[in-house]
Amino acid sequence: MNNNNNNEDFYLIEKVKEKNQDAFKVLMIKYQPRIFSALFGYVKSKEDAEDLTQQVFVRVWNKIDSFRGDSAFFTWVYRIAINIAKNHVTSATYKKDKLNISDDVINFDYPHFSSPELSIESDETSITIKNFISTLPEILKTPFILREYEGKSYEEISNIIDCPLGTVRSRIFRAREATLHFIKEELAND
Amino acid sequence: MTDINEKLSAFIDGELSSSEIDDLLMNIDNDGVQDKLKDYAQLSAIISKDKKEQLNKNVTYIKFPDFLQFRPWLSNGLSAAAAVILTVFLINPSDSDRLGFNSEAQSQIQAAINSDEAKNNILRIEEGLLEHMLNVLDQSDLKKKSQYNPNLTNVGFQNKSNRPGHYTNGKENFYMHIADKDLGLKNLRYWKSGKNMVYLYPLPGGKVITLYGNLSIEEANKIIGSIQIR
Repeated sequence: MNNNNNNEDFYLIEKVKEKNQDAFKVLMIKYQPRIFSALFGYVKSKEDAEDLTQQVFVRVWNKIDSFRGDSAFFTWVYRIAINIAKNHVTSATYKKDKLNISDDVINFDYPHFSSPELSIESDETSITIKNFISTLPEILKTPFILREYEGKSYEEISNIIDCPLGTVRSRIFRAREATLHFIKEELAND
Repeated sequence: MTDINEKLSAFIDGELSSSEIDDLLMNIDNDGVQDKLKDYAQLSAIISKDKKEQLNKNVTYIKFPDFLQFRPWLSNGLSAAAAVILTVFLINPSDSDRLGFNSEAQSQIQAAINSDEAKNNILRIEEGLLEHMLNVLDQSDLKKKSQYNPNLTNVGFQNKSNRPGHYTNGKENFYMHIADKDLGLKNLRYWKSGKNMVYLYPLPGGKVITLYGNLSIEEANKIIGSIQIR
């Protein structure tokens, strides 16, 4: 997570604190897969990880006023997720908690992923993606790798590859699109 | 559509301006926009997971900036141990090497500590290991008789007469704990705790040895190699 992410998130969080559900939805979609991935690694069950992820975001919505920005938003959400996961492991009332989710005040559509072939819990997917990225044309591969694997900001990438910022953004977008297209084609045919 | 999708891609990377975020919020309920954002987020998470797993093949690191928050999760009362801030770290040595230390591991430690993820994320360590480790650290402050108190003069360490389990060679000091406990360790793992190190190593017969102190890896290696448990 870079500083730009923080700026972007903080801007949205201010809106969420004003109960802007679209802002919350966007943040939730952005971080849900990472939270799911962390929880899946913890509970080793897709169903439980999905339930817990939902609990995490319900709690985020309810507790957003207590987020003061001392840490990155993702770090804060991650802590909530880990605490919920630990309670899940130790709490006998988990099932009861799960049933009570719908009683909460928030009313939004919980996002489900549109592409089942993009499976976070499958190691095969990440290997396939990595292999595909290595075959991308150099002009797409370099900025995409610098962004996704090295965590560089667009500005840093722009300096490294000596390209305008807009070109970096466009190339990363094209690399991402190409990867998604490939994954959907490839894995859908399996 | 390409324009909004490019914005979604930049959003995942944290690169949108405020006005572009406002534009995104206005479009989020449009057909296809949410699905595209979900796909980008999921792709990014898969790559992030892969990146983390590559790192974890050799390095396990944890950061407990708010250690006390973790205490309710620990099943036993570890009150004194709560004062111990485990700041970070480490290693799953190669299975083929008994103790598996090498310079690459050291540089990986440094890389892990310096990485953004180490700074921002809290990764979990197996609960059993952590709990055991904290218990040992807790006990190291007590003048309690250890179950095992081996003679380590052959590797240059003297037992401190008034403190069972505590050893020194004048420069390095450590506390040794040997327990009848199978923690599922296959080989040595070690962590940094402040200025000290914690070494855990499985011994034959379902025992585990824990060393805690300002011990170098080389000395820990020698000490563990000299332990004979019947």
